[in-house]
Amino acid sequence: MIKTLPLLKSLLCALPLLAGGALFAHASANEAKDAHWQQTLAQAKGQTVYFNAWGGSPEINAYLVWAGQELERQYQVKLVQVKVDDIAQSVSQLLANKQAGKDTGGPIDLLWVNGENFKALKEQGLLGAPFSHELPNLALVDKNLPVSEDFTVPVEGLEAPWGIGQLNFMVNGDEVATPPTSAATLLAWVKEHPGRFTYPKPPQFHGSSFLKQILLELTADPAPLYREATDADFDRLTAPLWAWLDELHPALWRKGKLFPASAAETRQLLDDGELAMAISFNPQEAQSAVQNGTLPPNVVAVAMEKGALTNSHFLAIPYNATARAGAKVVANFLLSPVAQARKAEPAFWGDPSVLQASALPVSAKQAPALRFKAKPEPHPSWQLRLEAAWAERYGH
Amino acid sequence: MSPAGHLESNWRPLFGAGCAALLAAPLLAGLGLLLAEGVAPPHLQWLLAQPGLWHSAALSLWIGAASTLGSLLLTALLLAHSGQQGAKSRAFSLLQRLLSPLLALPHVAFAIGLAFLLAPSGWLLRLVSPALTGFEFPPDWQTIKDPLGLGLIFALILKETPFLLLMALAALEPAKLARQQWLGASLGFSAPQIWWRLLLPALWPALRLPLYAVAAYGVAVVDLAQLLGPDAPAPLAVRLWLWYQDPDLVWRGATASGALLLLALSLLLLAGLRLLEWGHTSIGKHVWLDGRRTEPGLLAARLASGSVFVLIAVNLAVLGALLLWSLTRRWSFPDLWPSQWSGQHWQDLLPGLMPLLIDSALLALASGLLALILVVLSLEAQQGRRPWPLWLICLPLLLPQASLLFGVRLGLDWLSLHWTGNGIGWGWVLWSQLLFVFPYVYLCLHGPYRQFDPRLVQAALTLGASPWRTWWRVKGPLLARPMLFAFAVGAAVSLAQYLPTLLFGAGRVVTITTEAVAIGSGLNRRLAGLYGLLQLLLPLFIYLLALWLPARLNPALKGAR
Repeated sequence: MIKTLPLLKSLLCALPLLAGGALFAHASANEAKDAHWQQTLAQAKGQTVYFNAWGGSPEINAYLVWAGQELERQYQVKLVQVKVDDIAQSVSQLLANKQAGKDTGGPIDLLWVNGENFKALKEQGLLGAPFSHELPNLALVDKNLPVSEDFTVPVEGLEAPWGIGQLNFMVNGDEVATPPTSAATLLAWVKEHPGRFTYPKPPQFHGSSFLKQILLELTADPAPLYREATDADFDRLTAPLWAWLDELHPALWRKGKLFPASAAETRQLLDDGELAMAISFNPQEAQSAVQNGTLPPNVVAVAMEKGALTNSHFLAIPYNATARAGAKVVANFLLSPVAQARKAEPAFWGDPSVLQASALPVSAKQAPALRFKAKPEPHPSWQLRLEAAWAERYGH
Repeated sequence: MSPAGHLESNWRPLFGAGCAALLAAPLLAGLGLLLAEGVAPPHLQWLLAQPGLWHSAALSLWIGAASTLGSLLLTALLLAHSGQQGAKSRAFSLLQRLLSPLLALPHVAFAIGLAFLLAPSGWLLRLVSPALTGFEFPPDWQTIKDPLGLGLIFALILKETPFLLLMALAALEPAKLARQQWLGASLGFSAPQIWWRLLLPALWPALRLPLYAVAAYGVAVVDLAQLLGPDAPAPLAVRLWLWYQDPDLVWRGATASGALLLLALSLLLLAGLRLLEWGHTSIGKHVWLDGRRTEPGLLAARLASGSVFVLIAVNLAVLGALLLWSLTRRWSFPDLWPSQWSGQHWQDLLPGLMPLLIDSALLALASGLLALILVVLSLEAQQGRRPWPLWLICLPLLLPQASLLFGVRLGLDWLSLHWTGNGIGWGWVLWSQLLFVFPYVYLCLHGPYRQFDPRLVQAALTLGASPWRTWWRVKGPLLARPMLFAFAVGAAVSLAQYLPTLLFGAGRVVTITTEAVAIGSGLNRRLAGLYGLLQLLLPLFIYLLALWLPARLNPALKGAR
């Protein structure tokens, strides 16, 4: 015991030193990181960042104009939104670059993606080196949100989170007194009000998401949904879904013989009074659409009580980006508290923030990041099989 | 031969090689890639395993055939009842005066407006609701997107008939027309009879290629079909487009195979049209020459003026709907008019509009003009020689645009490894648009050029004029009308391009159309109205110019309108 004392003593003496050393090491790592970021900022100065992003929402486009003005003012980085109607076109463009061996001087600097498109980009090696850990504002991100995986595919620093989507129904309160919040009550409501509900045709993103949402609703133990789907699992777990859909379809809009092509079309149909509900991934879309008059005044957002299908959307830098430093500065700015708070306001966009509540400006703190209880995305193999099986049953 | 003649014989191979490098090589490369991918057994298997594939293919063929024949018949009917030169029917001269706005209204905007007219929540039903129908909610009827594609065919006929009319008018020489009509009338034939027996059969060669363009468009149409066409299953071209958009790359191969199937369908339809032409001219001859004189049928005349009425009324209603929607805040069923108005959309858009309009206009004028020059030169180069392969010229119209363009893009990326540029920018956009503008201009001009009386050129040459001067002083002015019409069509085609501008402009070059498509103008009726009207402006101006200018250029063409 006595003999061990000096050892203990020396150990005890050493402890603060060790701790100090660790602290020091930490600080110097921070410094190095900071120096690296300063270097990125310097490189980015004067660069033009071509940001390929879905251009289908005037509100989002206006938000990006604002971001561009701020970036120009604060960092002398010029942001140009390349408006595309489907980001898959940009994936194809990068793929053509890759096949041609064009590894530098690419046309796209930053991409707005998630899900299947991210999977395709990652698998084809179109994303280059991880970058998100370099962004100072990544430390502010709420790690409880589903930001480390994108539709169960590990992000591994290849994307920086930007926002959160939660599947919900924009319901016309004038027609639907008590909005359905489960698969069973939805089916009952539709059968009572034939022709007043439908969903976009899979494999359109929102249509496939609807199938996944209902599958989650009807599955007691969802564990297999988060693994690669096997034939046996798929047949067993989706049987209730097909039974549910078989019952639903005759009561759908146009008796299920015709489906809208997109969520935007269901929204127009809701506006026209042809539907009582439309699907959305933005929990605030109902509110902002009512505010600007594009939907009837009593439309509200409703999600499934068991949990809304929830996923994140991200920013990624292509492997052959020309303005890589500039793209990082843009991604970091879009993750800043100011930019995230503005994004969350329904008047501007209404897309929930991905930052911890404590990081946000006081005015933005009231709105929780997750408005509805969250259900994470199943493994992508389920979506592919669901789409194929749906096409087989109902697609023609 | 004179020195000029020597010079003339020298430029042909050089020009041919230039065209081959500029236009044919990328197309052949694109086709080669497509063939290589498309015939690969796994891709073919994947394609053939798609449920409802043959149903989709049959639909494409049916829609293409029905819309082409429909617009051809309607064009013939309208011409037959257009009246005599100098005594045109009222309906027809109204139609002729409105031809440019009819042509200029973009297809997508037209489809959105038409959908709003015909939908169960649309304008027509609102006229009588709830007063007569008692509907507080729109009924669950299937109107547009019917399984037979009738709505789509109707829309295509309404859009293509003005185009064919324009082509027919371009090919008809007013002086010759008046002479033939006078001759027919003096022999005791009625005006429609003269058209059916004498004038229309003679129009076949001039209309053949524009008709092919119409047919190819009908088979391969995507945007219009998505808005108005059947959906369960959709026509083949729509399904190919959706597969192409799928991030899962297994679809890419099937898309290539499908593109080849679509090509086969288009060629089948073109062969059918050729057969029809042959049948009409060889079998029909006995009927035209039977010498019977009849009074013009009242029914046919009514049908013609009725079609003019429908054509104009639908277009007016569509324009009205677009304008109203662009100014709407709330417009619910069953209100006949918007209940709340808003200028917000216009206010938000107008400040950024000028650069867009200028870029679009410059591109359209440049590619229209360049295509016209190239087409005239290539038609001159072919004079008295073996004609250039038509299938190659038409290729961009027969293949799905996406498959072809990504092939071209791939080739260009590969080439650009060896120089510093990246193949992106204004010039590249112009070039990529030219791939699609050139064939349209070629198809529009080919017929009139072929019909041009070579004796006029010979006479001028004999009088000592150089070949260039002969063209400039004799042939050019006489062909001014078809050339200007072809230019206008080319500029309008350029204005409508989305994918080439996106792929080769990559956001550096933005036009009204890229903006309109990206913003999903197909789905948001308020914005669709706004962008539709904006997209209408430029081609309207160009078409008006093309219809107004010829008579000012050449006094001999007076009275053409």
